[in-house]
Amino acid sequence: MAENNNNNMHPIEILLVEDSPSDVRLTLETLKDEKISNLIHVVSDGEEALAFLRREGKYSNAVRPDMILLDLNLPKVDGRQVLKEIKSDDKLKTIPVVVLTVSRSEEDILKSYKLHANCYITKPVDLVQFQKVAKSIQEFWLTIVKLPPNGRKV
Amino acid sequence: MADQIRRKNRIIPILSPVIFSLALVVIAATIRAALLPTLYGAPYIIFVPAVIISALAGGLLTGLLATACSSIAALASLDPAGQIQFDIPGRLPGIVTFVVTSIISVIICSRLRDSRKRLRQIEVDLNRAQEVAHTGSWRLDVNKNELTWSDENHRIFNIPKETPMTYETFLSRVHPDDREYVDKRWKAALAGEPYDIEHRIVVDGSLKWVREKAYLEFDKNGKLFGGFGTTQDVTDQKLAEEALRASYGRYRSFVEVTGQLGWITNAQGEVEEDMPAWREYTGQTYEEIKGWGWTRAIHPDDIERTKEIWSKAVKEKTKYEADYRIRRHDGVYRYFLARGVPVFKEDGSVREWVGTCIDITERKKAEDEIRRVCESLEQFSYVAAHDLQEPLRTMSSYSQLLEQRYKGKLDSDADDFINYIVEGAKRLQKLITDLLAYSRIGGPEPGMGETDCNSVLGKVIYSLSSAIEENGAVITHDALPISACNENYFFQLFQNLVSNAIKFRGKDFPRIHIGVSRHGYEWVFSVRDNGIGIDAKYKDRIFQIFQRLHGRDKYPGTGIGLSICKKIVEAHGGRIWVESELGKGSTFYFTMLVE
Repeated sequence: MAENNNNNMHPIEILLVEDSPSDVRLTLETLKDEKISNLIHVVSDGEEALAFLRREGKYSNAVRPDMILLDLNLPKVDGRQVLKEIKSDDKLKTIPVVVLTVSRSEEDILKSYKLHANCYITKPVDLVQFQKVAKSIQEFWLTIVKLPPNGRKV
Repeated sequence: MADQIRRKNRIIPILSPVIFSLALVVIAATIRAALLPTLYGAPYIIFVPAVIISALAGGLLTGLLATACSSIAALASLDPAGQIQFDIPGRLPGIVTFVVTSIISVIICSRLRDSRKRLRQIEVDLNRAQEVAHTGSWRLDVNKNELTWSDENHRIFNIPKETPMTYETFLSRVHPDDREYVDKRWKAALAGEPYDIEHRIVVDGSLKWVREKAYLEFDKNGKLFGGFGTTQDVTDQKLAEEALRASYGRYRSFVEVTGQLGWITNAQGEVEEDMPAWREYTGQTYEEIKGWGWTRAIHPDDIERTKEIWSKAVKEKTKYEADYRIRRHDGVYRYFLARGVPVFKEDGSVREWVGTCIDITERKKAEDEIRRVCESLEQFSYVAAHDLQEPLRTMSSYSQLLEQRYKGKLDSDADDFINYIVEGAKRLQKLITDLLAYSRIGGPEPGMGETDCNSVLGKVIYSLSSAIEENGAVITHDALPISACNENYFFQLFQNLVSNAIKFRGKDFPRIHIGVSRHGYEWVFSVRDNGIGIDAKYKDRIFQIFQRLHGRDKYPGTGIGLSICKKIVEAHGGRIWVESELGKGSTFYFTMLVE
């Protein structure tokens, strides 16, 4: 197993917030090829995302993710709103949020950073590019960067 | 006696007073001598008519002369021998009485004569005044039932002087359509109303306008006993009024046709002189437009802004331009563009402001329409291209994933099929990207500004450096000018042309030259290559969107590059064309305005 900086040797828990099933599958297929073990949880809209994070309703036993991959264009509660709520919630704001979305607009980029997204990535159109990006995400966030202590024990 | 006097008045200019009075005296003496045998004594009274006539005809001196001569004649007598004898002592008392009486008579008569002269002069002056002023007069004496007209009145109506004048004669000359009106007003005047009317008269078939005023006198019982009036020929004024009204009517029509109003203000920006065109259009009166009153015809939402712009222009004495809505005389608001300039005096100060307002309502409507269409078109193409990306990405990614995972694991047919899908998706992707780029051209680009074409070319060459290296291309260029084109567009333009020049190379290494020359108000750019060239019959087709002349395997590309170039060039008011020879190479030309 490649060395990771995760303190307690648990697999990395990732919450993927994405409404397009084909994109979900693509992300899963891409991320699972790696030697870094990670568990990916998927929710398909903003409301579910917040419920998962707050462990409400059917998500009362949900695990607290180490990282969130967030699409901006979501039904019900929009991704931008989710971002805002995560980063203003004391219990959630330490979780790194990687905005992974199709939008290239400067407005979206600026807005996301203003809402304290940890980074913003545009989904490449080409598969090979996408695979490179996914790899970069894993390398950077999961091996190079130090994630905050999860407090999962609590 | 009166007849005699009149006859003598006509003779006066012919005989001098001296001879005249002498003649009279001689006549008188002769008469006396003839009457002597029959009359008692030698009455001097015979000389009195001569003296009086002389004084009346010739004045004071003539009268005195006649007196003197008469005295001498009276003293003389003819004796039987035919000799003239003077018997002074005997006749002296009589003579003295005669002389005194005569002198008194002469004085009275000469005064009379002067009065008559003055009277005649007044009459002449009055007549002349009336003639000059084209105003006649008349007098009515009710008791004598006499209506007297002055000469000028006769002239105005062209009725001979001797014609007896009655009210009916006058009314018959009045224009048939006005007779009822005139008669009504006259009857009202007889009842005490003021009389000041204008009406037409027909004189020898031609039409004249007259203004009649009258002053009637009534006695204590309200009965009319006299009246005096004037008749002024106002035909000229009336014609001038007609002409003015016609020209106002013309103003209005002119404004309607051209949609232009002229205006004028004083140096302080206030309306002082009349502005007929503005008034005719807005229906305001002169009182209403004076000063800043003209702004009341402007749409309430535009008034403040207009006043601001106008005040500023007046203060700074700079060209004035503003657009606002004006309320037409029928209440409809229309858009106008107002422009004005100051008119300077020799000393550099402003004498007045002149300007026009042009109806731009149609233009504004058209502009709004165009803007709306453009916006919706832009939105449409943006949304279309964007929304197409998503499913495209899915197709593209999965076909590639398929390729990655199953290439060689299924049969070769599957490999081919998958490959076609992948390639197809890639091409579609490129097409959409190009289409988006094409649709964006002509839309708002940040900063028109000045572009240094040399530096843009440099960037293009840098961006194509790998293609240039791979193909061993050599690129040369003239010194390029600074153009008023947007840099981004220029970049796309050059990039497309140069990359084409490299792509469509022949067997030799591509040699590309970018040139420029000036033709009047245009720059003519050229991109020359030594590539495969273009068949003449396709010279126009290649600029059409998605047109390709070669198979996909031979030369890649969606065929949108040149249509993007064309759109860019035409958006800047230029033209683009190609001159080429198959197998030898092509030169692409495009023009840009020198700003």
